[in-house]
Amino acid sequence: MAAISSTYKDPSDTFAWWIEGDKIAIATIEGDGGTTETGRGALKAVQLGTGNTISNGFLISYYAEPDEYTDMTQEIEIDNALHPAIIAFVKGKALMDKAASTNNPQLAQIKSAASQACMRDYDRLVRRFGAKRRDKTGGTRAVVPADLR
Amino acid sequence: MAAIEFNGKKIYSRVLQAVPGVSENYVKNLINEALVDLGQYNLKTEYAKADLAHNQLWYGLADDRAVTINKVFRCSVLNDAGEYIRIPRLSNQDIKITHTE
Repeated sequence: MAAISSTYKDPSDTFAWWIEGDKIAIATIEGDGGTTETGRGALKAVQLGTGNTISNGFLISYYAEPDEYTDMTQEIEIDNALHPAIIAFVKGKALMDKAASTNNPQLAQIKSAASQACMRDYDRLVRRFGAKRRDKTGGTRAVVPADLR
Repeated sequence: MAAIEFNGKKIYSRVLQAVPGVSENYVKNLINEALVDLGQYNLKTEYAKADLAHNQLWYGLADDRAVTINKVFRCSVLNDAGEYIRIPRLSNQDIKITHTE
């Protein structure tokens, strides 16, 4: 497999991408041959010549999931505004498990109520975090002139 | 690094106040459960590069790969000047059937 250099002048004009399931499709109207499958015109897979590749030929930007947390001394790799939410979540779930495993109905009820309070707190903190993000990135970007007619 | 952050040990000590006797491993599992739940929000933006291969239309984004992708929001292709140029996304109704699919 040979690595070749990109010869595309303006990929924004001739390339397109889309997602289907867990795959991304990258298609182009650029071609390197004379047939419908290889010539310029029809949307198709990139034509580089058999066995050729362009190293690091495309770049995707994406939202990723946080990595698995494995070491209790490491920092949690999400915005620290959400750390109290994680504490509320962990306390809520732990209290729920304790409530389920106790034989004392009164104690179970107290723990269950405390668990629900923690989970409500978690929901509130996550919602507030969402609002904060919107506050950072949202808002008016253009002013529409008044209609003076 | 943020000024105030909690690591697993600090969270564990907080949880022990409410639920004495739980193990550290149990708390670690719950932290991961919380991260899975929070993963549905757009918390972490990353990018990845891959090779463009001849006659290959589809490129895998499955979870068993090195990166865990929630949502791709931008795609760029390398041009002859070594720059990544953003390319348009086709929405579902605009996708054509191709010859080399």
